[in-house]
Amino acid sequence: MKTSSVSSSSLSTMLRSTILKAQEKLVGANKEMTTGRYADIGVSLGARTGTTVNLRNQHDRTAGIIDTNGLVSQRLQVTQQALGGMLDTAQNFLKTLLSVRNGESGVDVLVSEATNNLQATIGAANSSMGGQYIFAGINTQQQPLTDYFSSATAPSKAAADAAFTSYFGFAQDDPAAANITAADMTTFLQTDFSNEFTDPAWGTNWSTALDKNIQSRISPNEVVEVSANANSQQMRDLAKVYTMVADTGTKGLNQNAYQALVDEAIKVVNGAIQGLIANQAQLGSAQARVTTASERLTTQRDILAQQIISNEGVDPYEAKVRVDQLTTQVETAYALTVKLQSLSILNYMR
Amino acid sequence: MSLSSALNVAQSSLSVTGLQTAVISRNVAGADSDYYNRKSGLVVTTYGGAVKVASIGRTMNTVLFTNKLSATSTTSAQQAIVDGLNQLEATVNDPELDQSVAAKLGSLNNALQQYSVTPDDPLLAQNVLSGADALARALNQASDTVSGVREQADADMAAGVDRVNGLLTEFEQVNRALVKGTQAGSDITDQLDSRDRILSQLSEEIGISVSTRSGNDMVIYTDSGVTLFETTPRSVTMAPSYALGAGASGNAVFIDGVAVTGANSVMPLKSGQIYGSSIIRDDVAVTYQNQLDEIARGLVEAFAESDQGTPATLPDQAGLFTWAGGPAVPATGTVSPGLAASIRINPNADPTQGGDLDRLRDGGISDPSNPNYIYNSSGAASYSDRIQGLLTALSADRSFDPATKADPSTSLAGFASSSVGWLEAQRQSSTTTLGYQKALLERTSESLSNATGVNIDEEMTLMMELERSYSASSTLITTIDKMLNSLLEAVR
Repeated sequence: MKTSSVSSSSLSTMLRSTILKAQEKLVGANKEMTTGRYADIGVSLGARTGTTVNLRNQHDRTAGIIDTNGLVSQRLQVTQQALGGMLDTAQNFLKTLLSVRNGESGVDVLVSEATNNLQATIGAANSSMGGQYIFAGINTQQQPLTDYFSSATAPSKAAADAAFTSYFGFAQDDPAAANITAADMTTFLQTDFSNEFTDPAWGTNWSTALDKNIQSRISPNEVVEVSANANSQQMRDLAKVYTMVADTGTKGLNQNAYQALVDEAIKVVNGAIQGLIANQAQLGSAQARVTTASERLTTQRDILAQQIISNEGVDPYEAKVRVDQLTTQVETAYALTVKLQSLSILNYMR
Repeated sequence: MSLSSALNVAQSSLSVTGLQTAVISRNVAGADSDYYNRKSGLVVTTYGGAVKVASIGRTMNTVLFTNKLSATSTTSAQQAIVDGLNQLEATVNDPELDQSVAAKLGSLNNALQQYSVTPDDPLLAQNVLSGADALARALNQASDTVSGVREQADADMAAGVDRVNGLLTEFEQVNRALVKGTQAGSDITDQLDSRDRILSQLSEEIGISVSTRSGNDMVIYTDSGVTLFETTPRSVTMAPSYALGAGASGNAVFIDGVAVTGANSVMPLKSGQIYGSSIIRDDVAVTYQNQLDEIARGLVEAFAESDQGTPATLPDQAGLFTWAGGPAVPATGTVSPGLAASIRINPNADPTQGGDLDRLRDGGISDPSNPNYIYNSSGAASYSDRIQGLLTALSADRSFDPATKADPSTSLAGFASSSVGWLEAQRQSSTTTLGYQKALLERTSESLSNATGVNIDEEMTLMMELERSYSASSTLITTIDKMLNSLLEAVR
């Protein structure tokens, strides 16, 4: 007949398993205390682990877009500055044109200013940022405008020369230029010369830019366009007006033809100035959109980070309390083991 | 005459005490064993008041023992499932480490976003390519892991089947000895212990129920009712499957020609390691493999290139991500087994394999020689429409096979996350269940051990009683001897 209700083996097994279980929990609690996150996210969160993985993805994606937005707004800023420079130049040139018309400055000043301006504007249109030509549309690896003065055989210059020669029958620096009438001059400027700045001649001789502008995604579902393009009307107008004044035999013209040229130039440069201002306004609104999007995304990213923490995080103080409790439990179990070991009837059977 | 009778009784007491002490020694020796049941000598009084040990008793509690058997089976099944899930979880790991397929997909998305803003930067293109490569490799590795887990489960099942066969052979001998011993009336308690041990071990591998017939002859059935042992063991067989790639199904376990695992089994097992491993091999890992294959299929689909000609007549072709069946795009909305194992980045986009990075931007990865698949016909360096299109395709909802048990209509990233969610949900519930079952098993084992095991202290106190009784009997004999001596001296 068995009388006892506890067996020696279950007595020792119980203590052993208590210690083992407490130690196992202690490892987890220690990790949670130091990292502030669940020791085993998968087991603790179960199906919600999918959510936390998704949140992390969204967080990284948002942070990525904020990064690239920095680049986009930098690019917009550089473009804005280039446009601003062009606008200043054009406005100053308008002033000079007006003063020439009133007879206050001479033709030499005008021609040299036009020459400089043409160079400066081509330079600005060819400006690049981080290896990208910003006025080239999507063809960012090629300088958009060919340098008019690079050599005598620059295609833009050669074409302009050819247009002049074919219309009047002599070159710009020919003395016969003095015989050109005002009406002839105006017609030439508005037809054959003007054609040099429209397609297909513009695309062949002047510009390698593509009409399609760079588009950038500034939020998960918003795309902006950097709309400054060397092929835009205002850029063509600028090139036209500077070339018109600099290289249509201006110095050799008679007073009437000269007057007609200046009048035409004023008309064109006015159009260019308006175009540039409109372009700046467009870019300005794009800049504002980028800034707004970045601010919104930053808030979103912070909220996502918060959500990740609240999903995966544990209260480190609570974990600390658990560590303390488990430590006490293990210590008690050790003490009990020793106690029970010495508690044997064998010790009293002598 | 009464003195010699007293001497007889005292002698019988000595021999009973000896036998009882032997029983106590056996108890003390077996105190540490989980499979030892406490023995006790059954003492009866015979003719003339003498005592003798009629038989050796064995404490037993059939209810607790049966409970322990079923708790062991359920626990070892659950343990096998949790082990399998933990191995599968290696494909996810801590979300913070960004090791999961879902996280790699996020990195690729980020690389594409950067590339979309500066499409003329070859470094960023390289970055996209590396991201895509890492993602394809993560899918390959995950697929490998799943196959590995299935093969491991298969090996475990085969090992379980071997063990069951071994134990059944051993059981046959013990059972035969028991039947004989019972007929002969000899001490069979040790054989009973052996039989219980074999049953306990058997229950780790396979869920069993037992019934005892006359003469201690035992019959073992599986928990599904298939006879496992009746007089002789039934043959348990399973042909091991050496390679278990996606779509391959493992061989079923047969008992006496009846399939007990797998979809076609008539009497499927409900517990035991073999059952747990079969769940991992035939169900859990297969579902996870399907999810991986669907992620891979979604990738191929999202990155596929379409005919840019007008009107478009050519079919879509696999772009940056291609697979064994490329350049065709796999059928949409249905699992294409093995895709996750065969997905790789298209060599046409990889400079180290003779490809061109610019094709990431311009299209034409699927077939560089066919101008119909080229998106950027101008060749402009900052053409971003294709990259934007890829970003849109990655975040667009698409339909997945509902058999995968993950969200069937969501974005690719959403599907990958829901796959992680599915796996971890399985893991969480199985781990919790395992915790309960372990506790139950522990409790049952403890109760059984308390009811049937040995307490050394008790044995020692019993031994003191025996010692007392032995010295009393010895003293009696001495005294009776003296009395007889005095009687004989008086006679002399």
